[in-house]
Amino acid sequence: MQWVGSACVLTASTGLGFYKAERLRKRVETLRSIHAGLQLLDTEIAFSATPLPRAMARVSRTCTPPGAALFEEVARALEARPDAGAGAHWEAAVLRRCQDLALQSVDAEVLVQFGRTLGLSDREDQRKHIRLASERLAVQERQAAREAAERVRMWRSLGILGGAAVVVLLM
Amino acid sequence: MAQREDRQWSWEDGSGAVPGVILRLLPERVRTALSVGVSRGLRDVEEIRVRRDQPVQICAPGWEGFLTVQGRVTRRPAEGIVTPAAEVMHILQGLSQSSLYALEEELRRGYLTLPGGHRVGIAGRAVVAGGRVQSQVDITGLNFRVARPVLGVSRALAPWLLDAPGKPASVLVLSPPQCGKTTLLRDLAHHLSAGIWHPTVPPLKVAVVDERSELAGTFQGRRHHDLGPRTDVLDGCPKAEGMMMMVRSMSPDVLVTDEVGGEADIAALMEAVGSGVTVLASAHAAGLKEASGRPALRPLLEGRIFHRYVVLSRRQGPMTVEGVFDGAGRRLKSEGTSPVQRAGSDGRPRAGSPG
Repeated sequence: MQWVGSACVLTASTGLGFYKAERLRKRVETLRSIHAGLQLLDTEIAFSATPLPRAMARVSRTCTPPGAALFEEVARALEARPDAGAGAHWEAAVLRRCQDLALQSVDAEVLVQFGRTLGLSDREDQRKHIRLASERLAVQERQAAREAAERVRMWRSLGILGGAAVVVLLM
Repeated sequence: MAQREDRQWSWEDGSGAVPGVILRLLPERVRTALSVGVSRGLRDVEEIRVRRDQPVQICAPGWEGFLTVQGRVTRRPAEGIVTPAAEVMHILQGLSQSSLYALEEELRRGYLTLPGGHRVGIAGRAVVAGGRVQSQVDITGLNFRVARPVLGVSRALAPWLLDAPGKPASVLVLSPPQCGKTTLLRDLAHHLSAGIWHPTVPPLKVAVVDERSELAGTFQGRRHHDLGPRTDVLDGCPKAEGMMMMVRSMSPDVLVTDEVGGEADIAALMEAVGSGVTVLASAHAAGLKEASGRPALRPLLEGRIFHRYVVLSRRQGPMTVEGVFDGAGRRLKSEGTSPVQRAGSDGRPRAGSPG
């Protein structure tokens, strides 16, 4: 009985540690893919002035996984209700997806601020806003990568060792 | 949402009410008021004008006024539904699919064409560079112009527009704005291209030089008017250059272009007629006399490029034919006949637009 309990505690704490580590890693991946997605969006706007519903759909098809979901959601929302404005759809999608994309509130803030300018001005202006958001995302991405490098191992070890410590204390 | 509205408005086709494609773009309150108005007998709306912080204006043949929340039309501006800046912005978002940058060309021109050929005029603050309008910002006024289906106008005129049996004459359509010049040209192009214009005229190859994307109603790469199966469209190209390009490269029987005037246009027209192509064109003028008074048009008339002139007015509604004249200015067809048949009276209508 005691052994079974110990195994449960150990599994739970190890799982928690790995989950924390995974979130850190996923944040980096998400930021990277959204960053790449914005570059694709920039190309769509700069070279063919593609309207946002189509541009977002195209980006979601070519973008890498975690971030693609965000673009896809915005594309779908825009297709259904274009008059509500791209900014509103973008903000709603960012806030809804924040949790599963492992984004922190700072990251979400950068994206939401970018969304407020989306589709509201001419091409040149749109490109400026995309560039600005890209730069800010790059900063977040570097910071997230640093954090991940430092803490992924820590969380994993902490999970296993913490569980082991609890087991030892209880025994 | 869109589907629900489609169903809601599907009954209105051809009944003289406001088309769904326009209604969908309008703010909720305006949409509701209009639908109430339509159920109370509001008919033949030609224009819905939305201005920032001003009441919504409705124009129809012979009357105009401001739309109230109850769906009535009043002459008192204070009772109308006022559209604030946010609502105008919403309409623009809907028009541009939330992508104003994709409308650069349309903003520069000052209007865009909706599916069905309806047109939206746009007025804001022009951004000028090098003496030319580059774009518009701070949009304050939108004018939805409803396109009404017109049936067989050009066929009714066919007997007067033949040079010889089997050969259509070069025609210049003259009228003030909003009398149906473009609609008549479009109708001619469609019927000539489909070979259903006149029993003696075989189907012809038609080339359309559409500088302002009005004839074919091109919007974001899609064409909204059916110009017939033998028609090639050169979209957005300056007229003079475009006419020469089409004559050289597409070997048309008929060349159609809108709103001619200016030396370069006239030279190109002469070139085209000289090479045996039938030219159909339009120009702004109230009549032949007025046209010969316009310096930009006088050489066109003196050069006898066109063998027929059709003068349109709005005396009995849009597309009232004031007269058909031959190349020398002699009247061929009596005045005051309106070949316009409203849709719904028979058959399936084709869309046309005022202007």
